Amino acid sequence: MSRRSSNKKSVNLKVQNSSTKVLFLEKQFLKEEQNELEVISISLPRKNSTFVKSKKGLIYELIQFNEKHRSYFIDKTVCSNGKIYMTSQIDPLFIFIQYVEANCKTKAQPLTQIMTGPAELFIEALKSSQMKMIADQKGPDDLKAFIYNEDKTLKWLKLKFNNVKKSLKDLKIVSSGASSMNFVKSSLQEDNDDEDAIEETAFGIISEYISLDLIEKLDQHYGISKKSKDPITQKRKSEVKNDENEQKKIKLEDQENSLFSPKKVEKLETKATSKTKALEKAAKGSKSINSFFTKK
Amino acid sequence: MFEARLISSGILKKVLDAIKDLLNEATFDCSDSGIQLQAMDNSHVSLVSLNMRSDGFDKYRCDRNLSMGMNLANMAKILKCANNTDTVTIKAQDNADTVTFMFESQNQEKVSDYEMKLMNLDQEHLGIPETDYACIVRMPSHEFARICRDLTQFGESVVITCTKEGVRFSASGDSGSANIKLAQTSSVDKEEEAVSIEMQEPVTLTFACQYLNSFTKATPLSPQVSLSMSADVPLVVEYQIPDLGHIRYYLAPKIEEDEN
Repeated sequence: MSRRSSNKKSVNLKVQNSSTKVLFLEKQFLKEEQNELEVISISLPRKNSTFVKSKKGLIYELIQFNEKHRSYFIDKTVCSNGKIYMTSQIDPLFIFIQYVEANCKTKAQPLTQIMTGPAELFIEALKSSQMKMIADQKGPDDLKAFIYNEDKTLKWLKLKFNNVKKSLKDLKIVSSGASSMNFVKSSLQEDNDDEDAIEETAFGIISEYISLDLIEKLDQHYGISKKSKDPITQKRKSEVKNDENEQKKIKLEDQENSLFSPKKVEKLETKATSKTKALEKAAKGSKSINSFFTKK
Repeated sequence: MFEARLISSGILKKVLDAIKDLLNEATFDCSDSGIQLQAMDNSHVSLVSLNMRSDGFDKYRCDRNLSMGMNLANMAKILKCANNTDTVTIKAQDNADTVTFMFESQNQEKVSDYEMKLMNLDQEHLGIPETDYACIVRMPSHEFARICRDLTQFGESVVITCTKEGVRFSASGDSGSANIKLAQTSSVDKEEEAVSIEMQEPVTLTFACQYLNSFTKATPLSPQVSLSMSADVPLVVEYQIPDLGHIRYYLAPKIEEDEN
C-alpha cells in the first residue's frame, strides 16, 4: 500500500513520530473532559499494567495490541506506531488484591497505608462492600481497615472465573482447536473439549492479575486447570504405537548423561525395583530410625 | 590425594553386596582413620554403618578428608569386572568428581582401570548414642541368615524374644506360624559356632523380616553375628569384618499392634 501511494507524487505523506497513539475509548470518556481522565501505571504481580480512571470512579485497564509492521494513515500523515490501545473495564479489586495479600495477612491495616504510591488514587474508586469480598473489615467504618481473608478471596476469584467463562461462552471466541466452518460436531466429547478450552482460557485471563501463590491455591481449591496442566494428554493419541521406541530413546539419553556429562551426577530418581518395593512394604508399621537417632 | 589398596577385591565385593540391597547410593567418608559410611535406607527404617579402618588396608593414604557419593549399582557393575583374587586400589584426587578403581591381577599381567563419576549426596549423619543393651546375642552368621530366610515364609514380621533360657524367633501369618528357639551352647570347640547370650533383662521386640533378610547379605563377611537389643530402641545387627572393621545395621522396631 505504502509503495503505491508514494508513487503518486500528488500525495505528500508525512511520517509522524511514534508519540502519536491510536486509542479506542468508550463513548462516555468522550463526554467527560479530557483532563479528568487519570492514567496510572501499576505493576501487578505478573505484569505491568496501565489503568485509566474516569471521573465517575470507574477503572479501566489500558490494553495494548501490538503487531509488527503496522502503521496508520491519519489524514495525510503516516503514524508509524501501529499499536492499538483499548480500554476495558476492570474490577478494581484485582488491583487491590496484591496489596491486601502482601500487607494484611496477619494484621488489619487501613487502605490508606497499604495502597501507597500511584495505587493511592484507586482507594476512592472502591466501595467498602467490594473490599469485603476479599477481606474482613476491622475497626470503625471510616478507618477502612481490613484483614486479608483467603477463603473469601478464593470464592471471589472462583466467581470471577465463572463470569469470565460465561462471557467467553457467549462470545463463542474460544474453541479447542481449528475446525472447518462446515464441520458438524458429532458427540458430546467435542463439547467437553470446547468447555475445557474455555475454562483454560478463563483461568489464564484471571491468573494474569493474581500472584502465583493464589493461582496455585485457586487451582488446588477448585481443580480448575487440572485438565490443562498437561497439554500432551489433550492431544490426540498417535495411532501408531511407538511407546516402546520412545522409552528406548529416553533410556539412551539418560545413559549419555550419566556417562559423558563432565559434571558431578545429581541424584537421579531411581526406578523402584521389586526389591525396593518389598522393602518399602516391609517398612510399614516400623518406627522411623530418625526417631531414635538425632541428627549430628 | 586418596588411595586405598586391598589385597583381595573379594572383600570389597562382599562389603558392597552387604549394603547395596538397602541403599541405592551412599557417601563414603574417607579420612586418615579409614573409610566410614552411614546411610539410611529409602524408607528411613534402618541405618547402615560401615567402618573400614585404615590399618586394615594394604596401603592407605588420605591427605585430605574426602566424601565420595557413589551410586552403588554402578559401583557393583565395576566390581563385577574384578576377579576375587585381584588387588583393588581405590583412588581419587582431592576435590575430584570421579573415583578410580584399579584392579591388578596377581601376576601383575593384567591391570584394569575403571573410573566412576561421583554424586552430590546431601546425606545427614545421625548421632548414635552409646547404649547398654539389655540383651546381646552372638550366634553363627549363617544360622541367623537361615532363621531369617525360613521365617520370612511365614510372616512379615519376626518377634525376637530373649530370655535367660535362650532366644526365640517367631513369625506367624495366614499359612501358619513358626518358632525357632536357640539355647546357649554349653561347650564349644570354635567360638564363632557358639550361641551366647549376655542378658541383663528379658526383651521381646518385633521387626520387619524383609529388613533382617537384607542384613544377612553381610553373612559372607563374618562367621559370627551379634544382635543387640533393648526395649523400644533399634536392634543392632553387627558383623565384624576380619582385620578390616565392621558393618552394623540398625533397625527400628515395629510398633506394637496393641498401641494402635
